[in-house]
Amino acid sequence: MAIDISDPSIDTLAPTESQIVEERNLETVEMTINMGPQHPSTHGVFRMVLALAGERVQQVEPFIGYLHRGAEKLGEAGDVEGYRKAVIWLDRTDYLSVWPNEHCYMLCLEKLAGLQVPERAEYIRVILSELGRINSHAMFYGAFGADAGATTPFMYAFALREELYSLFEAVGGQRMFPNYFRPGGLREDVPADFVARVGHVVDTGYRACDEFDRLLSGNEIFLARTQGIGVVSAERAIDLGLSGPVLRAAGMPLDVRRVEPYSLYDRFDFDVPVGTRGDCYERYLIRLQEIRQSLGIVEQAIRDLPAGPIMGNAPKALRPPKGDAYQRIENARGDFGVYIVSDGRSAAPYRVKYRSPCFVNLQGLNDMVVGAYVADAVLALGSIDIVLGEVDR
Amino acid sequence: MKGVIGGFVQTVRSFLRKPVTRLYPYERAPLEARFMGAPGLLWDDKVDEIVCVACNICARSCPDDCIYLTGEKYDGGKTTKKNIVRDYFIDLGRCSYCGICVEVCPFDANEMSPHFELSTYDRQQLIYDKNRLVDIARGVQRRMGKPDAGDVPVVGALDPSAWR
Ligand code: SF4
Ligand code: SF4
Repeated sequence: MAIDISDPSIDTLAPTESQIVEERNLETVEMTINMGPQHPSTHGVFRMVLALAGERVQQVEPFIGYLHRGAEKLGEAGDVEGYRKAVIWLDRTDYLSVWPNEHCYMLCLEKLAGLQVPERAEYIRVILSELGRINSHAMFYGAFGADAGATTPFMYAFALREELYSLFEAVGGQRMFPNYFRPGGLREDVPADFVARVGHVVDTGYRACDEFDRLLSGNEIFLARTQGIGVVSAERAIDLGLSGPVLRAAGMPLDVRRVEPYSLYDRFDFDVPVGTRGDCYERYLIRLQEIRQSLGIVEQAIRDLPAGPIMGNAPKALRPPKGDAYQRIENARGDFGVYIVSDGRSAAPYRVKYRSPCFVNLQGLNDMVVGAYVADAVLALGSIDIVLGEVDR
Repeated sequence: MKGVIGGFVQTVRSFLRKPVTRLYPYERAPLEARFMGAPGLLWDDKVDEIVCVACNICARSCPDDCIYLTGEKYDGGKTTKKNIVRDYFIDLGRCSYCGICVEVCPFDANEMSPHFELSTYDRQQLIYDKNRLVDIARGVQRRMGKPDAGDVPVVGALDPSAWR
């Protein structure tokens, strides 16, 4: 749907801040307030200390760590099947883009151990990773609508996510934490009706995208709430190391799938949506476009899905040689990376490190909210699409 | 105004559609064949005996350390096993339903059951003992990681150009 962004917004009716201060002879003193950790809009347990002058934010100081579980340290802890246990903990850090993260871990481990993956397994991984991205972006759509004061988008998002989760359950046995990818392949082959079900999900996905757009994208109240809010320029975004939709909304066409193709992504035809202004609204639009692009990738992958084995020559007890490997991928939130060090002897990694895009993207929060209203701080935080489990790990 | 009206149109359309929600305890979504609920212990119906030989591999591979078991010498004569499990506890309050214990078991003695409704008033009741674990896995066939019978490899046969 085309959106007329030159439309004079409706907020001309509201009195300006200076008018209110003048009329009622109010005096503004600076005040420090706590937002969170139980605030419903902080997407988990996140605490911001805001220094306010009236309704305007002067400074913001984020406090994290409430969900810290030591996922990296636990990943090193197993004495038996340690490489497998680490995945369980990785899954539970970013609980929304589980499939891409598992994919990244396996690619990294395969790089380290020098394993070959059959083509069919890689295709299935790409399909599931892209569906995982769609799942995460749908969640963003629901949560961001709720941040802006619209509760209905949540229902639309969850109708789509239910379809996806049913598919994940049919493939991996679990709805959220499938633990389905293995070093060198997959746990088991996909069920017999996989292609038909993915086709159905893609169908529903396109329809749901159009509904998402119709419901919210052109809504004037939503536009007034999000346009020009939480702006980060491209230079500043690069300085801060932001990635993913936050960076692309600022105008940098940087997508790891494109600039450093991993897995099979050089075989698929897809676009990288890029914004120009870098505000909350563009981050929202980019995520909706990415859902469509991911659906396109799934369509291509399912068309080309070859027959064949799903497991390579991986040994039963994996002990990679001494050394280290780093693999980066584009997950739903940005540039995700896994670093594994092996000491060559034990069955567990000597060190695992996850480069979590949310944690880095959170650095952009200060730039986004300083000078804005408190209500806009909620939107700016929502537009980063943080998952606190991943920030705190 | 145009965008707001478009939103209303969408709302009316969804209003006329079949609901996607279910009235949960009364109406249940069907579980998928591969659904992984709580892990349970398999019972060998042929010799009417538990399969597990208390080798402890599952307990050592569990990422949450939630399996506790003890074994004893076995000479019941029904099978050739040398050991049999005496006590076997899984703390389902800590279990993450990952399926690793099932995958590593060399004797095919356990399987993820479809049991998932665990609500209790007391956390202690989430520690399932051997009898309850056998109960929840009764009738479950060992299949995790093995292809379904009659499965043919799925290849991309559909023509996605007709989908939209
Ligand atoms: S369930 Fe399997 S792995 Fe665990 S103790 Fe019994 S036989 Fe060993
Ligand atoms: S399913 Fe996973 S967490 Fe649960 S008992 Fe088995 S290995 Fe442990």
